[in-house]
Amino acid sequence: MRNLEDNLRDAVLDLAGDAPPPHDLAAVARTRGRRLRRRRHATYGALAMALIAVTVTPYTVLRKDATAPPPATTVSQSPPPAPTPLTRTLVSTLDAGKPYQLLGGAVLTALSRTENAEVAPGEFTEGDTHHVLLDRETGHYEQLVGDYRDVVPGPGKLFAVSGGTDAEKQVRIVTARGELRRRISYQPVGDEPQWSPDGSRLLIPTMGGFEIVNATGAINLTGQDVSDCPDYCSYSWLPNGKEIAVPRRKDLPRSEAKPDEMLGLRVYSAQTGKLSRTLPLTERPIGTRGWSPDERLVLTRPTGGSITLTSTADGSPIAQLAGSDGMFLPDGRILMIDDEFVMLYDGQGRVLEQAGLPADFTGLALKASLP
Amino acid sequence: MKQSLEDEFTAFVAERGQALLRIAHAMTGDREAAQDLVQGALAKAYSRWPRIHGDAEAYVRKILYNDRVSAWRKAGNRNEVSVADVPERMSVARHDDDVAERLALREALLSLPARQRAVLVMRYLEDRSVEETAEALGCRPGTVVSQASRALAKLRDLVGRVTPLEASR
Repeated sequence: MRNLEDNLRDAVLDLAGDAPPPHDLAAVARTRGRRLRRRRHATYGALAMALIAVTVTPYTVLRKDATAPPPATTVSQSPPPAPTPLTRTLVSTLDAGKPYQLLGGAVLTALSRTENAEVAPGEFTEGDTHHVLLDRETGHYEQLVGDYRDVVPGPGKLFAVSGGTDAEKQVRIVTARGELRRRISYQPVGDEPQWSPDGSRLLIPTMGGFEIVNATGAINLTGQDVSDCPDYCSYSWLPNGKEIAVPRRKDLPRSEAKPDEMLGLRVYSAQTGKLSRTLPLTERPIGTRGWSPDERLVLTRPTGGSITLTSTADGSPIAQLAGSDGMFLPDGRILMIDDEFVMLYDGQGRVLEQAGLPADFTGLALKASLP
Repeated sequence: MKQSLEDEFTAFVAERGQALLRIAHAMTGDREAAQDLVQGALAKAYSRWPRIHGDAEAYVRKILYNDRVSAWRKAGNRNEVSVADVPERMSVARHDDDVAERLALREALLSLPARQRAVLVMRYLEDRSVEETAEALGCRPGTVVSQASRALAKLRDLVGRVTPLEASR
């Protein structure tokens, strides 16, 4: 009988020999890799889970050195006269016991930090992501327990999360603490899932098109063929809660060297899945939160560019806005947020208010919502 | 990313994809998990391709091993099978003790902690030196030696445990 090590070598080779054949490895890696790049651009590395410890400090000192962000670049040829923006001062630390107030009545809903893991001297890859989420029932911030990369706050107390080894296979619905409420299996493609405006349904991009899942986890609608969605394919609900929008790419040969160009935005009925109309947008909406209440305006994100206030009537850009994320408020104003500042704009892209954020937030990905 | 780099990435995956899947399958023992592991590592490589393409293979392998070990840790070691759970050697008559031991070893391998398995895969599948293994796993050579030694002792124990059963048949 041969020695153990010889047999072990054969056993390892046997195991390796049972590997599956490569199938679509490069294509899947590209899709996931682009998502990683996007996240990296939106998230800078700093601050740790000590956040909770730091943030328990109650309101004490008001920040006096708030840095004013750069003004918005107005794209239109004849910009309307700008009102003088107010510079507000926000509290300098996050009190874990109460919602952190931003501008326009919005509050901070999620704070996330992605670690950098060094795989070789000077070479980093993305490590774990940690989240602190607002429990809207108690008004307290909680540390999300679990290995999740992406967090999408819902209008209510629930969050859609994904991450870990099954990130590409399912979305979980959890509370701010991470208590599991529902598990939704899906074959992902494109951007993050989107909550309906009333929080009762979740729109999930899938390999086959899209799925709309209701509060009980039952599938309301399994979608259309949206294989012509561009590289950066972001779905959104329209404010009426009855329709969803899916970008459509130009019918050109795909090239890995440059991102797809968008031909328009298709609007489908969330009830029947039928195409109801097409909007002449050539840049993708940032998500459900990016639509104005009257649907006349939408926040779009050009590939590699700043968030842009855009007219849905003809797709024309109105103004570029400062900040890495934004949302329309019910009164038609726009809240923009970055890790160092928040700004409030009117529906013409003019700055109304601005404020600096605590230095503790630098490097975090922040999400705002209405309380 | 420039077209030339895109082409390079595609060529790299075409050329090395199967080898990476073999490593991943040796570590996970599961085809789907192996595919996930490789796709995750390639995605990370793609997202940094302009910077790492000069030494892509080493980068991807490192991610592969690290992701496997860290996923296993996060899963609460749930993939580890206790000694009591290790399947007994197949009871069908075997004319070849080596074949029987290899089958038992294959099962036993999958019961090892991910780090020990990773060490064995690097040493026995890839023929990496102790130093190369240590570098890839981000630990000291001494740790590799001790992990390998523990793994072998455990395998010996697991395989040895079933041999007397067969012997007594």
